[in-house]
Amino acid sequence: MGVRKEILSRAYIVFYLFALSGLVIFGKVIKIDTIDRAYWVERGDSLTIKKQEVLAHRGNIYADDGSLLATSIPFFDVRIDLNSSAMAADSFFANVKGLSEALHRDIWPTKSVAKIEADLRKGYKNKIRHFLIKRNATYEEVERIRTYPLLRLGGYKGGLVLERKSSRLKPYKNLASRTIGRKDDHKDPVGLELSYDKKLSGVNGQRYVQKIGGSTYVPIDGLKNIEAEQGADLKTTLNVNLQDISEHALSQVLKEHEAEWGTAIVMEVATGKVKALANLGKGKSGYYEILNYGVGRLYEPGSTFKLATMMALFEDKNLDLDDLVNIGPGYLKVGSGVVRDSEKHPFTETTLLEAFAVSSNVAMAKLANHYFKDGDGPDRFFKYMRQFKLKEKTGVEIPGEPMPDLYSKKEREQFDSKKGTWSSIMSIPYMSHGYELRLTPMQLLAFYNAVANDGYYVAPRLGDNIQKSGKVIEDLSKNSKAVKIASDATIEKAQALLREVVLNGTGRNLISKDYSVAGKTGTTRINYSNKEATRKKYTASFVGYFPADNPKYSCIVVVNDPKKHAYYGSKIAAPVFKEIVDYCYATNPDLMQILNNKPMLAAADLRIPVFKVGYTEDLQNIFGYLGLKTRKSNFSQWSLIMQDTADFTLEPRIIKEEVIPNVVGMGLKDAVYILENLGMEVKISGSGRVVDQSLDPGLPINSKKIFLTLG
Amino acid sequence: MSLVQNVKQNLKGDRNIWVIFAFLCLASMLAVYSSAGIMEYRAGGLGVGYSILKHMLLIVIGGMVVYVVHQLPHRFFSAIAPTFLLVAIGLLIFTMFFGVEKNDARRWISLPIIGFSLQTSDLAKVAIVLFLARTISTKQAIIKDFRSAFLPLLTPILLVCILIAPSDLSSAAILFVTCLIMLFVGRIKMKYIMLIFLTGIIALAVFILLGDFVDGFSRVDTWMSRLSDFVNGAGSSDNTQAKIAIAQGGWFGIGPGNSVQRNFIAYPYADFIYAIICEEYGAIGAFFILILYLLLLFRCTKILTRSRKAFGALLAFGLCINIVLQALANLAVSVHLVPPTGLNLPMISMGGSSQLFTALQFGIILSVSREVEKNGLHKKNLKDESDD
Repeated sequence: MGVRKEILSRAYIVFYLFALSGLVIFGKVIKIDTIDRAYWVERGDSLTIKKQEVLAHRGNIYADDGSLLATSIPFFDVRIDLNSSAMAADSFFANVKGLSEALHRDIWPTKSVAKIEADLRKGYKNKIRHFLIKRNATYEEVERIRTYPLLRLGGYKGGLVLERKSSRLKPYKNLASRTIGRKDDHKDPVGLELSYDKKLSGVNGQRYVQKIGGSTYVPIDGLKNIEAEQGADLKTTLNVNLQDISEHALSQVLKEHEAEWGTAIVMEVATGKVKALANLGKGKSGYYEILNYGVGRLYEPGSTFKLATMMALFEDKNLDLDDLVNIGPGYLKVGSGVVRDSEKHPFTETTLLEAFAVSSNVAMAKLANHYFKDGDGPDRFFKYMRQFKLKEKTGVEIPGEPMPDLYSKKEREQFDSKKGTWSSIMSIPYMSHGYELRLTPMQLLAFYNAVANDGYYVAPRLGDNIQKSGKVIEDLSKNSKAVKIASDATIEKAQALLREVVLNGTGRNLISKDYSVAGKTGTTRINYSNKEATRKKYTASFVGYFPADNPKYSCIVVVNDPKKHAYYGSKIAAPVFKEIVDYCYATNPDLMQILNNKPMLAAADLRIPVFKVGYTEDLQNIFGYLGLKTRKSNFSQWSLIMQDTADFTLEPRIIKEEVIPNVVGMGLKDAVYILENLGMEVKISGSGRVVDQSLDPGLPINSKKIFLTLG
Repeated sequence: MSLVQNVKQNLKGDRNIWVIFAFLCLASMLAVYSSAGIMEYRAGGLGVGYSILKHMLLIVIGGMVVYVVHQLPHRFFSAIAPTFLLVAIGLLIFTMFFGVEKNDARRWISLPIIGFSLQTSDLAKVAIVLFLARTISTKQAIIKDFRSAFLPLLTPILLVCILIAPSDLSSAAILFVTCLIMLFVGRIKMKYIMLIFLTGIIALAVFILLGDFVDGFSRVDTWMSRLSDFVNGAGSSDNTQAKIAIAQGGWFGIGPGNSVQRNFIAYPYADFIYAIICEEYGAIGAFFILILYLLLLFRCTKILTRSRKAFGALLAFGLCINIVLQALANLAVSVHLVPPTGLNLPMISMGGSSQLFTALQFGIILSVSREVEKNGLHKKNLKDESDD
């Protein structure tokens, strides 16, 4: 074999070996591309692509006027990744001091710059990936943090790590907070947030994201992504101002009397809209919205329940308000117990009207004994209770409303805890004046509301409508239908009873010459069964409506276990009620009509501040608001109020430059404003309005100093 | 236009090899552009595009190197071969002790003036192939002799490979096999080749043992873990990601620049660039790249058949074997036929100085080819005559 041929043949052997290797390699490529493909593709997807839930924005909760009661806002946990691979050592060390200063200035004012810097350096040395800067930072705070040295380098170079969270914000803080409720991961959900959760929460979306290294993900197009559907907004019936007044008044009373808890509910008579639902319970330091007592707490209503007994009597026996009832010596032995009136009355026989007005327990017990104790009496009694809707839940949208604890003998047998509690001698007389039965404040209010609403029961509710982007998509008021619970005659009598309580009975301190109220006081012993109790405990309540004719609002106030000063419903609950009524009258133009019908100046002992000078526009606004007519001769910025026989006149007070103005009659603020604008220096003595000025008006300004006397 | 025409006229040598080189450059630009972005994203630093621009510049310089070198007469290479080898060995020793350390390996020396770091093994590679081609061709008459022909060949091979091995075992192995193939094609007796092969195995064993006992002597640890992973079928995360990349690519690929897996592979622009090519251009693209290298080998084999002189032919063939062998090794790693080696895909991977040396190799191959075109045998008058 020639040399050349040998070389060539050996070279070809090499070539073929290489070609063979190439074939093997390509074969492997083909194998991965065909046989193994499914496995590797799936493996790749599982490593790099994942499904991510896109949280839907939760809807807002609004008050009746559109004020925001609850909304979701983003919060961030801010950290620094001190081991970010893109963070250059140079930039860390160059910026660590500046960063420490910024953090000291904004985040940790109590921590020294040196300490912060040391911590940062330590974190950098130890390659801490989650150096915490701030939890729950707002968007604005984050924007500021972004401008700090080092962090402003952005992205991985700056190492800023933000973890976005969504948090529920209640702009009015504690106002009606228990009713608005909560729905978060940390505590049990409650309130409207829970009951309307489905509407509020919207539908979470889904998207596919792909890892692009590290822990960075980007959404992928082209895969089935489901858009998140934003939650709808809930407009409630709550009125922020009324709620505020209710809470405030309730809180005052609870504090004053050191009570355990209290609730105040205001409801619109015709519609059942709950305008205010205040719940305050004793906490460690003060009173808070701890539980929704108004909706969730059963209590023995005591005297306030007498209305139901009376109405049952009217329905059943058509008794009259003038019918007489004997209350004997003021107490009545019933089995082993004694029913007493809380005060001794100067009479032994009285009318039903008066017996109710003075809240005679004996009268109720006697009447009930007479009509409902024997034979089918109890059955009829419970039939009326059912008819008055006192044996069912109101269905108000706060989860956790209990059934009224108002059971007949037969029903009690069905509960282990109630078995054998029925007494054929004692149960009916005691139930008649509100013991041996428990209702929630809301349930009792709904009953009184029906009386106010001429016998038509409307279920109380907190939701007004469901909105999406400001458009109403569901009207929640359609759900409630008015149901007549008693005959017109009965209702008329019931209304007369309630009016009498305020006019001549236990609710007399609610009398006002400007408005009329109807209602019933209640003072319930709560620890009567505990014979060894050293202190008698009471629940004080008042429930009623106003105005007495054509009622607009019904309201209940319950204060549990007041420990100081008093315990009567008339002394404790009625003042809260009154404050609420006052507020409603003061702000509601419909209710004010009663006032407006009277001649204004005569009716109100008005003291118009005449001969006072003020800013014309302001004065006109005030007079306009008060509905008083004013006349003015010609326009000027400042005016003097003059009164003649019928009207007020706004006399112009002209202020000219270069001339000392007349500031007598002005408030100090106005006077100083005018004078200093003219370049004068003002000195004063006294307080009140300007009664004298050291330089006479109309003179040219020569001296820069002016002395004002106030008085 | 005159410059272009001038260049065109001066592009001598096998057109096919020129085309292959051009295609490799093109493939390199596309693949590196696609895969190097992630490196810049990770590193921050000099801003997006810096490494890619640097790579493009190197490709252009590489092209110029090829152009200049291919015009040199290949006798020039023969003349400088011994000196070149001595210088290369000297530099290797220098590197071993004073080289720049990157990734735990001391492979580079930094050129003081132009601030360019140079992998001395690349230089030694060319030097040893030059030397072998020269020695084999001059000793063809006595090539079967052990003492006078084989030993003078064997000694420099072992010396160079042993000097390279501590820092870059893969390159040393590739070079070693290249040399073996050159010896084989240069008609060394199979017996001796088996002997040298055995010597190589023993050297490797000694080397590994040394590495085991002497801490920091070599990168044996890296190697052993790669090897044991491979034997256990575990495969590194890179292997897994590379296979995912190949599978994602399918037949036609997911399109240029769309690679996803580049984000998860440690050096998508170097060791595993073939996987990225598979992902973006599919099996079709993969086949094309493979064929480019095999075609290169085929053309160089053709040079062998046409060349009148053994030196040039062996030189071109040897350099070509070196390139293609490394390419196949890289491809085999990408498809997980062999454990990860850290070898670049010649002319395609982003490789800094080694790119220029590959260009140098192309230049020499084309220089040989140019002369073969001019003076070589053609099919028509192919005669069975021995070279001088």
